[in-house]
Amino acid sequence: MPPTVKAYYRESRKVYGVRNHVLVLPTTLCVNRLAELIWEEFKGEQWGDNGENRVVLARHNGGCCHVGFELEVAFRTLLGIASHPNVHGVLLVSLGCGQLCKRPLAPGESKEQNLTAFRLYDRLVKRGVLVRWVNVQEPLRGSGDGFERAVELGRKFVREMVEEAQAAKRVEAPLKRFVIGVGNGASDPTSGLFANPAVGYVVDELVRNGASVVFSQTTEVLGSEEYLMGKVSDEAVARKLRRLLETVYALKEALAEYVGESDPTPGNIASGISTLAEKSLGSILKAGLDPSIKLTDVLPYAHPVPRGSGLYFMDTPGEDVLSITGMVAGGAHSVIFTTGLGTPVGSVVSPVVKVTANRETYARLSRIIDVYIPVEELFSSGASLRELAMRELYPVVLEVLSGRRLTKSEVNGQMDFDIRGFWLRA
Amino acid sequence: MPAIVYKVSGRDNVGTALSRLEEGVEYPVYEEGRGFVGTVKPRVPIPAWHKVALERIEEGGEVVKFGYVIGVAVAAVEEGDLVHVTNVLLDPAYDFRQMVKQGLVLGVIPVRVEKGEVLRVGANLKPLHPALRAAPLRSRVGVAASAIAEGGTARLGNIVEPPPRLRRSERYVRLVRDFYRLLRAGLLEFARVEVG
Repeated sequence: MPPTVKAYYRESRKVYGVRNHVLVLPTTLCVNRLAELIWEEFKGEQWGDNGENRVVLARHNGGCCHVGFELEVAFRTLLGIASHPNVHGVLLVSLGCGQLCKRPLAPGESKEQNLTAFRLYDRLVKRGVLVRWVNVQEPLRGSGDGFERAVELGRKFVREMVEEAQAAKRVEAPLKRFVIGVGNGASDPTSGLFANPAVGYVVDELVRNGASVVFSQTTEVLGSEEYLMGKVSDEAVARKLRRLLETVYALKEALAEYVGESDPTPGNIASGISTLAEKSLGSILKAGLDPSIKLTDVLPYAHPVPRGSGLYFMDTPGEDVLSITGMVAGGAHSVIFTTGLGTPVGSVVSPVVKVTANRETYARLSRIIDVYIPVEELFSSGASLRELAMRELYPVVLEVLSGRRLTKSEVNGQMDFDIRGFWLRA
Repeated sequence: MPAIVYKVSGRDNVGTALSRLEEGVEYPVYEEGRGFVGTVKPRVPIPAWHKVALERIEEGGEVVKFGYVIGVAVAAVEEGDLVHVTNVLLDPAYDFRQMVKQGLVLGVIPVRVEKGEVLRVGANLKPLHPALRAAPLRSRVGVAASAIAEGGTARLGNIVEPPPRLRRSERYVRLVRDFYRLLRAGLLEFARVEVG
């Protein structure tokens, strides 16, 4: 009998959320401070059985002056985060002139002429998302300063949404309605040998029980083509994967002259990693060890991840916050993240479960790390790594989904989020 | 971590030292899912988290870890040898074990060298390793097993990256490379590059 999750059902969107957050989202970086002022009013407020829900703020460094492809990605990311299943309602904080701001039409301007500006708001409404907005540049009714009025109005909208969110109750839902992301960062030798394979065993179990799992970090899978191609059974998926890897290889090669020494880095070599293949295999085993579980599809950055069982690969940078943001914007309800040296990283709307197999790191940084895989038991009690992973990590993931347990990233208020830029960042 | 050699998969011919291993001492080998499967006696000291050969690997033979090929041996590797990165095949005049004991980086490469090029002290290798400091100018250290970029380091060992399994698009590589070359030369500005 596959396990079930207790989650919030959203009738208008036919999705289940594992949190019931209210999101304050600036549509452009210029209004980060305004969004923060609105959010500060609700800073200490928590609700839900274990206080797992709150008003969250997604500060970022994008939303304006994007070109072409970059604009598409910024749009997908904002849309994905605003319509995330874990979000009860969203307040869009607009400036007015930004590319993705919601603003009233200028005299004589038709909605079609101003498509980008309306697209984000309209798409959210069409998706059935509860959405409110404030706009700094729009003259608001009443007297007084426009900026202050925007703060007041924003706080009023958020208060209404919080009251609604507080009334919601969790209901039973099958695991096949959920998406789990996996990632790794601030790695050390214990990550590749123990933590990532341990997560791999948990991923296999989640997929077998009907969940969708997504992994990412394209620059870090280079070198593990043998593993990846072994995960592909479909010709179309193989073609997509090959094209993606070829492009990244080419870019990396071209940049190598400028970046200097390429992978593995001198730091990797000093800790015993010999080749790029060895480095990336240690990282990619988190995507599962069962050879019968195949890759369902390869997705672009922040693209929605289909629910209903499967293993997906998303093209993201290797950097932690951007890779997690991509998967979460794609709808990941929660992310399992391994670390060796320790990192506080989290996500604005999804709980991030951090796992380490490094005893010293866990002892020193248990305030930011959730789970320790006790590898010394491998040699003393004869338990296998799979048994340890299923005992220590798997139940924690289910508890986090059902809101019975808060991750360290949530307790610490890690509201990590950003918009991916494409110039000089890989 | 205990002084154990950890083998990830049954197919592996190398294991990882979980802590520093001494030369000539027998250590247990643990295989994931199977438990203790035997012992290995290192021929050189193995630093923590480095790889030790669990069987003889012929020159050109595949080095397997995690159940996958992680590299190709550029020299025959004996059971108990340290298996690590290289871009340099060392000349017999230098004592390999001595080099391993004192660190793996031999020196810095001031100008890009191609695969097969001979590395000489003071010519195309600025020595960093204590064993090379006393070496006479232009003395031959070894041969580059792969191209080393300008500013890269010459390293010692017995394993190289396996050949890429994906065919790369030469045309695209050239395009991107030219783009960055022009950009660096100041002949191209971001504002003039059309994207989309």
